[in-house]
Amino acid sequence: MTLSLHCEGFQDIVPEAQTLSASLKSGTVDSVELPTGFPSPIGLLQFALSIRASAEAQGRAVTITCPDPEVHKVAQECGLSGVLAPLTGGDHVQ
Amino acid sequence: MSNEVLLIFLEELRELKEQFDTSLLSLRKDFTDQSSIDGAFRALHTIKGSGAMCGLTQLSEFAHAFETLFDEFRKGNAPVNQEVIRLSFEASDLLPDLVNPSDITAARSAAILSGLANSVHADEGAGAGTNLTKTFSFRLKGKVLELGANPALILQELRELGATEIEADTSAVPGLDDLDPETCYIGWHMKLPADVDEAALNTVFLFFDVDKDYGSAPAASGTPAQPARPPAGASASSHPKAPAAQAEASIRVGTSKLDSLVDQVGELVIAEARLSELARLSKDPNLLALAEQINRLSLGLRDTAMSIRMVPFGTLASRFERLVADLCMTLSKDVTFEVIGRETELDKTMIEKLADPLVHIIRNSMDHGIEPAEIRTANGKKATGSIQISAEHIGSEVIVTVKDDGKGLDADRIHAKAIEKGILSPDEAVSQDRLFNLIFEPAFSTQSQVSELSGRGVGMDVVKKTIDGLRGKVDVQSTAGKGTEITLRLPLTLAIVEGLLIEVDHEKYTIPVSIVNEIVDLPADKYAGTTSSDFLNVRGDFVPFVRLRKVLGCPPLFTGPQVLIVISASGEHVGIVVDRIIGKSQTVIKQMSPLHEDITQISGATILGDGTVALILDPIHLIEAGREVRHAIMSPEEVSA
Repeated sequence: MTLSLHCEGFQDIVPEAQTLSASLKSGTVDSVELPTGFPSPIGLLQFALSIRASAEAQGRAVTITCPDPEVHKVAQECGLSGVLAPLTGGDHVQ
Repeated sequence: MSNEVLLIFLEELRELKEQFDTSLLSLRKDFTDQSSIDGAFRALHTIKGSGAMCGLTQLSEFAHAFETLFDEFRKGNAPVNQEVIRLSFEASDLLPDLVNPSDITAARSAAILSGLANSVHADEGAGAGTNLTKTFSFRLKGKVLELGANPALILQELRELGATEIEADTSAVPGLDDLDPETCYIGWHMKLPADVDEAALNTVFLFFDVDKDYGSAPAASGTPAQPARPPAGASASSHPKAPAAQAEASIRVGTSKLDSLVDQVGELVIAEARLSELARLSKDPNLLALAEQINRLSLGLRDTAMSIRMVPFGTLASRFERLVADLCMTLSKDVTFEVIGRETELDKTMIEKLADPLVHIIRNSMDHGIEPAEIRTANGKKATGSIQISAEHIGSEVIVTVKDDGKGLDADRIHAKAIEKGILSPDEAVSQDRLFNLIFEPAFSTQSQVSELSGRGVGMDVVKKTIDGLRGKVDVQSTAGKGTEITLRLPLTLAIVEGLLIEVDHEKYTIPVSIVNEIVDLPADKYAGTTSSDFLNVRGDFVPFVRLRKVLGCPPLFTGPQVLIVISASGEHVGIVVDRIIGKSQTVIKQMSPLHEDITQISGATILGDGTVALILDPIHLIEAGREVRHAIMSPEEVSA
């Protein structure tokens, strides 16, 4: 299933991370959608990297998406393009 | 952004702009001065970073674009010239306006950047670099993400330095259970051109604590050296750690808080004096000991608070360097500007109030005093004019002098103008000193034609008015064809001074201890006093004296034992006769109201420990009164001797 995260700032990441960690361990999540409008795109990308690291530690694969184009732009500028699944038309394209 | 943050930024911007201007002024003298180029670049870079942090997008974008072009001069890829200096000064003037951007500032920005780009690209290719590269890695330290760090901007700057093959290193990013979301675990590796030096990289990371790893530069023998750079040891000691050290050594405090601190210390000193008086009257040893301890503490606090208010004269003088540089370009004159006594400390209030009068004086010197180069050379002078400004402490005064080597004042024309204005009558004899000082009369500055009167009219009454407001004095000396010297004599405006408490006709007065040379008993034959004998031989020095009873209009004359206090200022000694000396006291200066501004004998008032008020005598007035005694008795030759 896809888990949509709704964190608005760094203070929300830790509780979300705990929930997500438990979900990954139980194998109930195979896809994560990151929120839009997060104040630090690089912080969100790092969160995505951490999700992927946790999933790999469990021997699982997880798809991470984000509908926020700004995050994709920063990912490209910072050499982190492969972290997120690419934006693929539909509602996510602005 | 809160008003408080904006105010802090504006103060920082003012200082950085001054640093930028100072570097440009040095660069103007030597277009190849690498340290000046680096200094200007650093100021721009900090403005860009601070502006971005405050959300001033247009300002930071302009600073960034300007810095990018300016970097070409830093790298030696393009030469600095007069046009670059002019555009840089224009950019400096634009920066404060970009805090409130408009269409006009946008147009000015575009024009400046376009002009600078033309200058950069005019010699494009002259300093073509090398294809050699070195590796570079960095990782930001601490909880930088919480503080808003954006590695994308850092990488953009590194790309502008020539970084290629940028790769993120995500190996240190932990799993969810160990993640601290505010810490940046990601690092970056890249290749940089071999000629990018450590100093350039340090400016990129000016605002960050960072782990950096410089790969070794290629050992190719063809790698060009960088002769303009200082030796490695010199640059290492001057650049990398300086900002951090300064940050630890000082903090920024609003001037209103500083004023409030000094006011409160003043009130504390008054309260302490009251406590000491009560302790003395009570004769309670415990209370006396406590009062003494509080006295020591309040004196220490007073000294510290007062020293915080003091500002070096150099901070003011740097503004005039820019003024002279601008006027040189506007008037097509070449003038050297020299500042003497940059380290002389003045009260910050005084510094602020002196700025306008000095601008008037320097502008007049530039505009009307210094002749065009062809006239100067025809008159046997150096083509380059000279203006010198100096500041020094003499006794209880600050002396600020502005001296030029221009054409000087035209005494005949001033005289004619004074008669025309009705200030002098046609047959009135007038000394040259008085004649020259007429340029400060309001009538001399109310008509535009006065500027043709050898140019010493416009705005000069403003100078006198401001200096009068500071209880100072302005004096002008001039020699035709050789130059003019304007001297501002200002009392130290420290809010708390050590005072000598005296009594005249049962009233208490105080004078600053710093101007007291010595105290002697007045000989009995001088008690009654006659004008013709108001001189006293103090160890071979004939000191004119004035009787405070007479100066203050206290009848009748006192014939009992009296005391003579010898004071000195500006190299002159004067005695003042008082009824009695009470002792030393901390004098917290309270300004008199405007209603009392005509009372020249008094410069302020203070509250004593017993709650009564003592008036503070004006030393300058006393010196002048003594001078009149001297002039009344001695011949001009004796006075000058």
